[in-house]
Amino acid sequence: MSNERRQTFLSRSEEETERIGRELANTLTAGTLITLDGELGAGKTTLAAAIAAGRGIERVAVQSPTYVIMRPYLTGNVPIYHWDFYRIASIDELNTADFRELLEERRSLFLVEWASLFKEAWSAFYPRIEITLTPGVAHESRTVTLVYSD
Amino acid sequence: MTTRFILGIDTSCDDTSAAVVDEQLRVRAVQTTSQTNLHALFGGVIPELAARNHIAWIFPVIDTALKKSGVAPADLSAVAVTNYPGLLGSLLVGVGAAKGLSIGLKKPLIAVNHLEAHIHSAFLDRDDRPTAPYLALVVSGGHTTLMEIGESGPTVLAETMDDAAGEAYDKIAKIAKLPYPGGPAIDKIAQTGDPLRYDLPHLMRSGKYKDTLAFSFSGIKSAVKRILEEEGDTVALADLMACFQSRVVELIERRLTAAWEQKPYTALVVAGGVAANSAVRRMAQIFTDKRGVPLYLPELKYCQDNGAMVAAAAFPRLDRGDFSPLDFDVTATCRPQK
Repeated sequence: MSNERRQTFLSRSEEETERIGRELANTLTAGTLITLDGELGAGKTTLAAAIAAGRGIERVAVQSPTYVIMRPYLTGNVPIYHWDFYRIASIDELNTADFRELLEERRSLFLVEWASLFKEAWSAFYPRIEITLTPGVAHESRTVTLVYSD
Repeated sequence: MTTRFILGIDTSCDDTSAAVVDEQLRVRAVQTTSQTNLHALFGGVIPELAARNHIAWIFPVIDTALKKSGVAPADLSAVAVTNYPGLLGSLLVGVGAAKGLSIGLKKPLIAVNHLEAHIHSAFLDRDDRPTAPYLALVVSGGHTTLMEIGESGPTVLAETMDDAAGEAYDKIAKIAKLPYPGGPAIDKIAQTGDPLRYDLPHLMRSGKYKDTLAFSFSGIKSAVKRILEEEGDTVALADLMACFQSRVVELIERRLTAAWEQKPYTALVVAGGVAANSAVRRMAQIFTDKRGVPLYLPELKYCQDNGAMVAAAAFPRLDRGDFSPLDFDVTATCRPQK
């Protein structure tokens, strides 16, 4: 059984979202899964890029993985695999792309955008942090909720 | 002297395409089967669906292109195929077919980079060519890449830091409930709109990367969404889309200007699906007119992925005898090198 811990931040700008990502990055150990959910424009790629930047990946090396499904960033202090389930149609596609194989190696950080579209691909995997970004009432504000499960 | 022909194949994303091109880069025949209608049902490309459909269509498409061209397979000088970058499963279908043809016909094989192929789409059915160093921008659903093409080949100057330009169009179209693909839908409605009615954020005009050559298109999605939510049915969609399009074009123009300030180039190439956008074409024309250099824009029919541009990019390699070994692999950015 897993232990759950919940944390909520309010971000008032893209810069604050980036700061949350960078600070989180320093606390992560290899073999952690980080899921990123929230509607189009919520800031999933921004947060993923900030986490990668916190581990030594140049910001300009990060792009949305929507088109290619996964982008590897291998030049930082831990391998990072940046996934996007937005265009995935079936769990078979994730198997073809070695999602579980790479995840179970537990040697990298897994950042997965739109992860809730295929929960069955990772619902039995720990440790993980489920991040949800919700646009707030104020312009550019976001609520960032983190649920840690060990 | 007999004319040389190359068969070019592209299956990097959702189109299955083959073409026969001669050494003057005249397209003798091109056959493309698009899965756009199929993917429209889902609001985007479904990767596995794409790969399965490539398998069904690859040989009829190659066959039709060859027949329409009137070129006998034995008279081909080489078989060229896209092997990078793209969707892994999709790339494999075209590469497998090309390898089979190369062995069966005893013709050399040339693996082509998809971005270089897009650049060469601008030279199809055209007599003049740019001289190095020139600037090339490939803007499509999967790429936003600014390159310098020097004597020894392309150097990437900048890419997008999040969505590709075409991807931004698709996502904005989805938010605005416009049809897929988003590019043509937004371009059409934007032409009747007033870009000044709304004040969407200017892309990368502030922040850490404002003075770099990098692109970022994702910062505008939430602003569009907010306006749609606030105004509901009363929103002036044409005006909103016109504003979005003007922001995209403005960023592209600012990056081209900055690159040109670093180095005056001899010509500009703009290629890829977004090069079919009316505002992008107009901006590129004015940009090059002002600087007195030639502009190379693909004809509209060659902006999308197609086999002809792959064949065109393979000719310099044929001239150099720079062929690919039969065991070359496909590379998608979606899988790490093992």
